[in-house]
Amino acid sequence: MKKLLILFLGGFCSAAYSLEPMTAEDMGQVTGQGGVYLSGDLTINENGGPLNADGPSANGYSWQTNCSSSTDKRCGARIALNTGTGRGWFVLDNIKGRFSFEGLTLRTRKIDSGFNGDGATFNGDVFEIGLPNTLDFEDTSFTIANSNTPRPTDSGFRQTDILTVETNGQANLQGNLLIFPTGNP
Amino acid sequence: MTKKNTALFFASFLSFSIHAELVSLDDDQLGAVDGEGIGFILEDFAFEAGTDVANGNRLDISGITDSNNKDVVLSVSQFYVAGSGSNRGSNVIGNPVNIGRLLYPYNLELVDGDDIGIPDKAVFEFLAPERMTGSTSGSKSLLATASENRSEPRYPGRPQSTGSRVDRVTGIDTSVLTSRASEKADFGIRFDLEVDSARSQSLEAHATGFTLDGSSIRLWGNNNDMVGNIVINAFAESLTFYACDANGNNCGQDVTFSNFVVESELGWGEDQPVTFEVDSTGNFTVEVGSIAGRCGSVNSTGGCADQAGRNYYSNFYNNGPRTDIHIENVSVGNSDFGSATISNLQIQYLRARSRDL
Repeated sequence: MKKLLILFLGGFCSAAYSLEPMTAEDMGQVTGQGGVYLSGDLTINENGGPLNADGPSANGYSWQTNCSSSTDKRCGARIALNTGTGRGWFVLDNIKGRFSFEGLTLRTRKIDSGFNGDGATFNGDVFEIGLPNTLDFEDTSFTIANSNTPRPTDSGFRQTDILTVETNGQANLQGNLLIFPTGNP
Repeated sequence: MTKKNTALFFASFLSFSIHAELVSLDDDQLGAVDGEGIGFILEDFAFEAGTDVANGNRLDISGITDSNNKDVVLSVSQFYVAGSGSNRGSNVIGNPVNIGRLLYPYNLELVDGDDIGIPDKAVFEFLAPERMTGSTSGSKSLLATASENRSEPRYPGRPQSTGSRVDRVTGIDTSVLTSRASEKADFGIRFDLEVDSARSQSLEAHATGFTLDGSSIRLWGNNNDMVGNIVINAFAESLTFYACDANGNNCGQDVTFSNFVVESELGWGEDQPVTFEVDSTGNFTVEVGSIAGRCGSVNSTGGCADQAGRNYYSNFYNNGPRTDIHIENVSVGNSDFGSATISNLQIQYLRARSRDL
């Protein structure tokens, strides 16, 4: 093991060795073994967004909120999408909370059997995303809304909130998402 | 390969620089791009959220108020997707389903609009698994129907028109579906209604044997608008609804829809596009385009005077987008109420707009 480690170190600082380019034939023999195992932990605007300091307070929109101790729903990230020149905006607002998962895997896989007989006919490679067994949410929330201007600081800002989703705790899941080209690539 | 060589081999990867450049495509080459997309399926999939409310888990949907302006929160205590035999959400993890087939996957692609009747446009398509021509329905519809010829005015006081219309549904032809038993999902939701922070009632809805085969979304740009066509083809072997008290006990009788079929087309190519937009006052608008004004001139009885106009409307009524909904049996408790059908529903124009209350 020690020897192997040294060999790998050698690989990273191998200025002393002369490197030779590989031929296409050699490259063709390289296969992607194993895969990638990912875990993630993402926290968004747990203590409020950047707009709370200088937000407007006119028209009943009190954006000037101290989000650190408040449950005010206007503390969070905001994404606004325009639907056309001179038109309003689709908004995903008040995005905040913590989202984490453990054990998302990425790999390629050859399928030539199974799937109730489909595998043998398919006989090809797929990209496999192995879904994590649990998704953990900690006070994660977002609001779906429409507004007439992209930012709440724009003049004449008006917004209609459609619904707010709030989640806390665990979602359980299992399975793989398989992605592959269709047609005759 | 020796160990030393292995190290060298890795090193060669790390310090290899690749010289390649991107070359722009000319029109001819772009013309050769055709609809080859990305397929995806979910293998051995099951999902469950919102459970274990007792330990602080929650999935709440808020933003609704009742007539007294009290907040109404839909507090989801379970949302699940699983394979058949989920037994109303009690058998989810460990009971997976394949959603989509390797040979008939969900598909994302960019297609040449010339091929699908939307000329000179690149069309983004999201397709559910396709449907086959049914052995008894004779089409890609799940509904085997008996037709009749009808002669009647399309509006009161207008001249009669003749056409073939669905008279009754004679059966459901599941040979249309490419999703087999192992690819039909069960899903359901249990939620509590919280009015003004008081938990008042628990509602449950469960679907079994659900597929979306034959559904699609097509989107393209038209001047500054994003427009599209939507086809919703949903089939469920059963849909069950019932209500319980706030603790989830003392449930009422089941309302069950058996073999529930929705086949709905919204929009008809460029002739009747569907637009979703937010207007300049910040309100959401959905519109299914109008088919009015296709007549070159109108005669004294209100009909099209020109042949081109008549052909357009005749084509719309015979081949245009329509919606059919059929439930083979509706039952409440142990009583059967028989079948229910809405057929040949066609939208000439629809515009719906939200308004802040």
